[in-house]
Amino acid sequence: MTATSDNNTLYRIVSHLCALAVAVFFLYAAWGKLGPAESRQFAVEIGNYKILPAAYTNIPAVILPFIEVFGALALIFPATRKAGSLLIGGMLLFFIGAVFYSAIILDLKISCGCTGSGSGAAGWSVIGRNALLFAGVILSNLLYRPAAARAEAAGFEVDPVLPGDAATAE
Amino acid sequence: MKRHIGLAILILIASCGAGAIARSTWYNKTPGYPHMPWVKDAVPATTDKTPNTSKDPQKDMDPPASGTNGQSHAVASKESPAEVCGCEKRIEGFCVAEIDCVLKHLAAKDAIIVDAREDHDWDESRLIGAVHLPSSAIYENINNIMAVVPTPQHMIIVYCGGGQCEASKNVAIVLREFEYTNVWLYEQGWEEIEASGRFGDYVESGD
Repeated sequence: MTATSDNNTLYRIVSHLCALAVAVFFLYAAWGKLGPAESRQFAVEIGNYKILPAAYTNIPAVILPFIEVFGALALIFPATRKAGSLLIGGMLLFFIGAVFYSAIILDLKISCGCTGSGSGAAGWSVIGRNALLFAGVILSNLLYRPAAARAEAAGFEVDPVLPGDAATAE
Repeated sequence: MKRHIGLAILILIASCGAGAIARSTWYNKTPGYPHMPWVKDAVPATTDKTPNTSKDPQKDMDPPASGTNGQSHAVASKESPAEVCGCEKRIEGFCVAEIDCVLKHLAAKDAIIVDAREDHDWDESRLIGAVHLPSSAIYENINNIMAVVPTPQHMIIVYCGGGQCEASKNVAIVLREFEYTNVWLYEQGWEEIEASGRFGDYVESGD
């Protein structure tokens, strides 16, 4: 085994670990929002953000946990990772914006609602955690991306020993 | 890239479908929970038909639990909670109770007092006899209310930390979902309870 192939393996492992960590967090978060009591409570938490009119909070309260579940599952599998990343990454950006708007700009003292009831106050810590998760999503894609595609995108000739091009290297 | 975007849209559609199925089967068929509409009525029309709207909102209320004789509150003139509590201000369709109103009902023990604050505030101190229904776990603890409210028309006063307190509004809205029709908000809440110094005997501390 060469040093390059070791790197390839390491990159792939880190990529999978990042994806798995983010996916597990989202599955855990969704678990706390699925159910007759939990979904209704989640609608209350969404209403607290003052982004949606109170009448429309049930729609995201019912659908969002399922997007989290399916998005997280898509993130785990390499074949669907990019689609999962689009969903999870998009949601994370939206959550960061929502917390920033409601908790920081409007200065509302509200519960985050991120993982269901009792998930702590919305604020900078939640923004930081979401930013970290977003970085995890980005890393899981960057490190898994085949080397050939990366080199081509950068305008270089394809180098067969670039990290990620495991099939060629081995 | 188009393929990934297409797949992401497919996942979104599947999520909407799963949500719709869960709502129409699991969520709405679970006994004990009110119907969960996609779009809620912001202020249900029934609110204005409740006893809250009358000049004397207490007239339809249950008799006081601690009444000493048959005439107690109905003829108690100035001392009557009914006269102290006027529904002059409303928030989200709920009557707002002022400090005198809350004190009268505390003394008469004829209303259910609900504390909508979080656990750490509740553990520190609370009104004696209050029922804890934290805003962040309303549905989990709704049974606490069901166990003590004798009828849907019984007066319930919800308080929270004070200020722009969303917690008490959230709790009151959920109570209305469960068809409690005489829910009042004590908007000033704990801030006023502490600052006024008038609740001395009605406040208890610690676990």
